Amino acid sequence: MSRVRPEPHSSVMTRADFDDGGAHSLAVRAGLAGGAYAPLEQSLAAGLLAAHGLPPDAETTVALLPADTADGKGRRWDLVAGATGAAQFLATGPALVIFDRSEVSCHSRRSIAREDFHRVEAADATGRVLCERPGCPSCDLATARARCRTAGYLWGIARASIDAAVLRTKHRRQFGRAIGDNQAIAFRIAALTARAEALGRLGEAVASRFAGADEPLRHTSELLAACADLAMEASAESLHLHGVEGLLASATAQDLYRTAHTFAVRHGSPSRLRLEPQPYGRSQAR
Amino acid sequence: MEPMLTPDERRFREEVAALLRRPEVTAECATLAADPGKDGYPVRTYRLLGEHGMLAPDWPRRYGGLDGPVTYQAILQEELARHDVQDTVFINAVKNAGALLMLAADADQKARYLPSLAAGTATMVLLYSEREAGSDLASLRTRADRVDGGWRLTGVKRPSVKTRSAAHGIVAARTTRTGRAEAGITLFIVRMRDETVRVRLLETFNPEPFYEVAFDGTFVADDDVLGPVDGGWFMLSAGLAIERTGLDYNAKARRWLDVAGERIRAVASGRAEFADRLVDLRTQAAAGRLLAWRLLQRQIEGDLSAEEAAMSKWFNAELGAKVARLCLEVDGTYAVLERGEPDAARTGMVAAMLSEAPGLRLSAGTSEVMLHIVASGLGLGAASGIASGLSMGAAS
Repeated sequence: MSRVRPEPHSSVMTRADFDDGGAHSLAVRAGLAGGAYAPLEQSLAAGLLAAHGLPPDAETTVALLPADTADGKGRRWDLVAGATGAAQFLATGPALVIFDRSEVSCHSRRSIAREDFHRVEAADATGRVLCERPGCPSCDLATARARCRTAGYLWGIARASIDAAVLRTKHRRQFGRAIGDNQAIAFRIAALTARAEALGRLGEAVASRFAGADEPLRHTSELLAACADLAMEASAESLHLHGVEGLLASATAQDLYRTAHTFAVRHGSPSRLRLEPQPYGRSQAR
Repeated sequence: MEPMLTPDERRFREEVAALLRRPEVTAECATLAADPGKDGYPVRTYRLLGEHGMLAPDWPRRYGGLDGPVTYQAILQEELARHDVQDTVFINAVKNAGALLMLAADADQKARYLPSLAAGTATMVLLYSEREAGSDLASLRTRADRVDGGWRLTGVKRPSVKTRSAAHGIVAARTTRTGRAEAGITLFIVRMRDETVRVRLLETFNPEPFYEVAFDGTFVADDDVLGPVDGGWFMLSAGLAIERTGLDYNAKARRWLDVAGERIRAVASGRAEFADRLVDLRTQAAAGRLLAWRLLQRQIEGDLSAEEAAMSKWFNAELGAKVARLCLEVDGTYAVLERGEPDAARTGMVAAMLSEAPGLRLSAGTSEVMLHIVASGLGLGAASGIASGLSMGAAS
């Protein structure tokens, strides 16, 4: 591996380099708008670079290479989001290593997700090691930050699903009345709404405080698990309430369902996040 | 806990399984799975079963069956699922349309249509739902106007599946516009390959594409009216109870549970939380299976109740959705990779499950309709025409 000398940590690696509350809020908005997930990881990659003295220019997109899917040799990563158009790729574990696009090959993966995944292979390229210092605060918090943002995104997807369900059930009439007039349906949506409101408050609190908390990974992992469960349930319920029309390729309901179910397990299953909230090692994307 | 099978039933299961284990069956299923965009179905396998009287084994021999009990059909359904043989056309043509014909058709109609369905040489599709008349079938707008020698149908049905391969459709249309909405519906057997019938593909997230069928003055002769004019509602209700034994949903859920077990052993062994859920779902699947099989017994005794059928359909359809989610959580993001992708969970089968699961809760009457029927049987909930809520309709 070729190595570059990282910038002195003391000057650049402070928690203030990351606006975690703002990033969470942006992630929520992306989910609410049914936007893509990849920009969340790209912004985290940009933040990590900046924290190590390499602020990327505005035109350069850096895709994150998930440690969970690494092949063990630091040569191949799977299920990479946002690889299309990325100029650089940032591996986050165990060392922080950056690859130029010319050093890797990207292979598209067919999936039921709405956005592209790629398998990225570095072959003989070694990349540039940006940080391998144990205890680097930015690197240590990278997993927690990713989980917090993913939680915000999934919360937004859940909320968007609930909003779509409300709209649908107010207007869809069967048996002479709006289907939302049925208590069995209205109460299910109401319960999802209450859960979303509660988790929304928790998300804001965790996002603004986890970096200074004793167990940042536990807080963000538990938040993500709850938001993942909510997103899967809300999107499945919304899709169901849209009926067959919701399954059409042009329908937002099925988009939200696919997105929720794809990214709800991006960091492992909700139960695993609750039971084992540590960073996952190599080849443990499941 | 297995249903108690008679020696005859056990022998029939072994015979069906032996046919479905044949290499040509495996090869045909693999070819179909590799090219889902073609929206085909296992024609040769169906014909093979048909040649042995096993595609409609509970039908009389004169119509191509084996004169077997209805449990034979259940056994066939379970074996199709166990051998990953696509069963949609079987459900459309034999289990649903065939059962309706058996119930409502006259002798001439039975002789004309049932043998080719039992032989696997023709298929049929049910066309009830409309865009604004899903669960609430009484509000359907497709109309049939009286003409010399028959009727002309005008309207649009959606959605249906495996429609392009169907030779005929059973269409519900309004024949009387006055009085109670339910009272003016009639069923027609319609030739699908007709210049006035337009079949349009609807792109969907469901693994099997949906179709919209438009009838533009399609002629149906009097001898293709199914049952009495204006008497369709009763037959639909009776036919739906037969559709809703839940057995097909249970067979699918149990096949998916096999996959879940494989995946847990492969990538999550020692994960107690998954093992716990797997055992719980297996227990529910065993219970759902016995529930569905009890309905078959009721059917044999001529005592099939809509409430019990609704319970079974709801219980077993919800089960499938839970199994799909377990599989997703076991495999993580690899679960969304499609067939043919390296490392795709169970060669893409889990991704297909995730696509199919939402439809399970909608098809053959939504979960809400099923619960309403159950509640009505308990004397709870408001009375309405919901009791016949139909296939592939919007929720409630």
